[in-house]
Amino acid sequence: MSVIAQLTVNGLIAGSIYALVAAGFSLIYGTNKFMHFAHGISVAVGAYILYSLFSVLGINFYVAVVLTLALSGLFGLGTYRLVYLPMQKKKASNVVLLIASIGVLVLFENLIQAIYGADVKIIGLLEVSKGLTIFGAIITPLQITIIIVSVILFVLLYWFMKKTKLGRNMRAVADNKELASIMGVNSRRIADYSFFIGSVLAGVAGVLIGLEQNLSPIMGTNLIIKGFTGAVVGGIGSVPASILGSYIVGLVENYGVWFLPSGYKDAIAFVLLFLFLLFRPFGLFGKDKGVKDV
Amino acid sequence: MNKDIKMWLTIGIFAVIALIGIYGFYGITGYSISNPETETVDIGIILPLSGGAAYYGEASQRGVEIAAEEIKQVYPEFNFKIYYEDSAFIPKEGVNAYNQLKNSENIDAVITAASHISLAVMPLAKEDRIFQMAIFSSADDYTTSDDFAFRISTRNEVEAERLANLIIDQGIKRLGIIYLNTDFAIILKDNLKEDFIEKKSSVKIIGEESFLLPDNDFRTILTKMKQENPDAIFMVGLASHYAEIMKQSSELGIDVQFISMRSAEDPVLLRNAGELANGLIYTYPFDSTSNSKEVEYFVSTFKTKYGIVPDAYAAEGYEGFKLTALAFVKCGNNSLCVKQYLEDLEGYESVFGNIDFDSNGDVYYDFFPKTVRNGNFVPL
Repeated sequence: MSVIAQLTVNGLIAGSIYALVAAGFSLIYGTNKFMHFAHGISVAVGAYILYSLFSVLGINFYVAVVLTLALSGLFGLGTYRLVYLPMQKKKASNVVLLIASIGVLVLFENLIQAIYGADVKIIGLLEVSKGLTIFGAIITPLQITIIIVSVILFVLLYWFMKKTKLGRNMRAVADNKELASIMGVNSRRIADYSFFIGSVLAGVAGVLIGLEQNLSPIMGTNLIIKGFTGAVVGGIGSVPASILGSYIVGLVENYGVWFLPSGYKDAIAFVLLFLFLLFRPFGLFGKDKGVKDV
Repeated sequence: MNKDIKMWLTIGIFAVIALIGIYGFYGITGYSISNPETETVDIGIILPLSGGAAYYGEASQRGVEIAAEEIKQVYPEFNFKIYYEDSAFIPKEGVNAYNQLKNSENIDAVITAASHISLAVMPLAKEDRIFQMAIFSSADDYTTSDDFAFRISTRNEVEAERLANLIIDQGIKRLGIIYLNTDFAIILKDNLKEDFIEKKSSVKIIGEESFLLPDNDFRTILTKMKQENPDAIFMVGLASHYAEIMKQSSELGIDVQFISMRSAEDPVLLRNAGELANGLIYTYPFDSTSNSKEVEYFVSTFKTKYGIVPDAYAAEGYEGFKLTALAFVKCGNNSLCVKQYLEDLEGYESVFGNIDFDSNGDVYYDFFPKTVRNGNFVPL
């Protein structure tokens, strides 16, 4: 086993999950301009929906996945319509929406725990198998799938944002909401789509983590922190930059833990977050537009 | 000064002195003027009923319920109320739970579970002069002689010594350690490493890596360990962590002997690790197959009520509550009397064997080795 190769693979696997979370988070932030921290619970909801459909009800796995993604999207959309939109209509500030998002995160964590219990669950689709050795790194077929699925989704997302009318409208709203409205773009409809698509991406993350590791009610909290860190490192509000930033976070964490005690893994991510917030808040690939959002 | 004013001043001073004296007497002695036979003793119980350690909390709660029913039958005149609170295995929540119990329910005693929770609550209970019994709390710092803190768990060094013997008996030469970053795990790891492995054997500790409670990704830790060619990996944490470590080790082609401690005996390990759990060896303090009268009664009663065999956590909940209740039956609401009663208790036959408390409030009983074989937890 090559240590460098193994650490790189470990970082890419973690980065893929973080990137799925960050992409959805950035998409929602870009078009709505507030921090939807409850995005983390969309990951957990996705994972537990898959668990319910596949492990408990015995529905065909692929059907269960499709249903999971659809329901995850609807969950995100529902959160927007039932929680944020009413507050926005009352001219709530972004700080209030941020606090509401944390409330939603905590509420649904506790609901998941109340329904499913606190103990860790597994999806149980695949038997544990020894990994394949590729370029000196050991990686399992499922982990390869995680990386490939993530990359494919990111490419599709990029194509969607660049080449489709809806994607262009979403970028227009993200760039300048008022101007986009003047040009006839319905920003509320764009918000609906951003929450739906972003939450579907979170659902994908939930499915992949559920298959690779296990499920716990608090799984969303740690992931949204890592996803948020990735978005900040890359450039919050820019989906491609957030994705790249997340891979950087995954790699830095795993390389960092090689040299430092592993208990510092989360600290590495937080140090990265603080450094970027202090010295380059617009991220590695973002642009300093000189405008501060309140 | 006017004579009348002097008289009233004198009476007032004596009244204040008398009040201070009375308050001081009851405060120092912990003596209650209530009738111990009719007053209700309020017992708060803080367990991890949610989070990764919920299995242990729920098991302990079942043990407590068995003990409570037994106490009601044997001492029907003893009135008590139990208040459960959830610590979620987080010290801050444990402290919040304690304050809630103290302020809202005015508890007379508190039972705490898990070392880091018990340690967090201990100084508060000491200051409030509230009796504290700890269950599955083995951290060395927990008990001292000048407090009201007792525990039904042995100190870490007992399990550490048994673990060291197990490791040496297995012929292990190179040992890696992966441990949860909490009090009980750190202390157990340090006891094992410093007091036994390094001093008394030629086993080499090739690496130590810690992780946090929500961690699920051990790949890089295991990659580091693999580079050092361990014969065995000792894991301290919760069963869900052990399952992930064993799974990810298998994926990375790490073929070593896994060793753990009492928290390994948890259905979550078997469910999540499946066949990979077979061969794990660990130490455990409670033998549910023992033919002692106490164990047979406890196991039979437990199985009748819950349909399952009790484990060590249920056993500690059972004995922890039973001893607390017995002390209050004898002493009423007098913390000093309760403390003295337990310190003087000799030859108490528990489900862990014959135990008595030392001046620090500690008990001692042995651990024995167990393993996972064909998906079952069995003696080694």
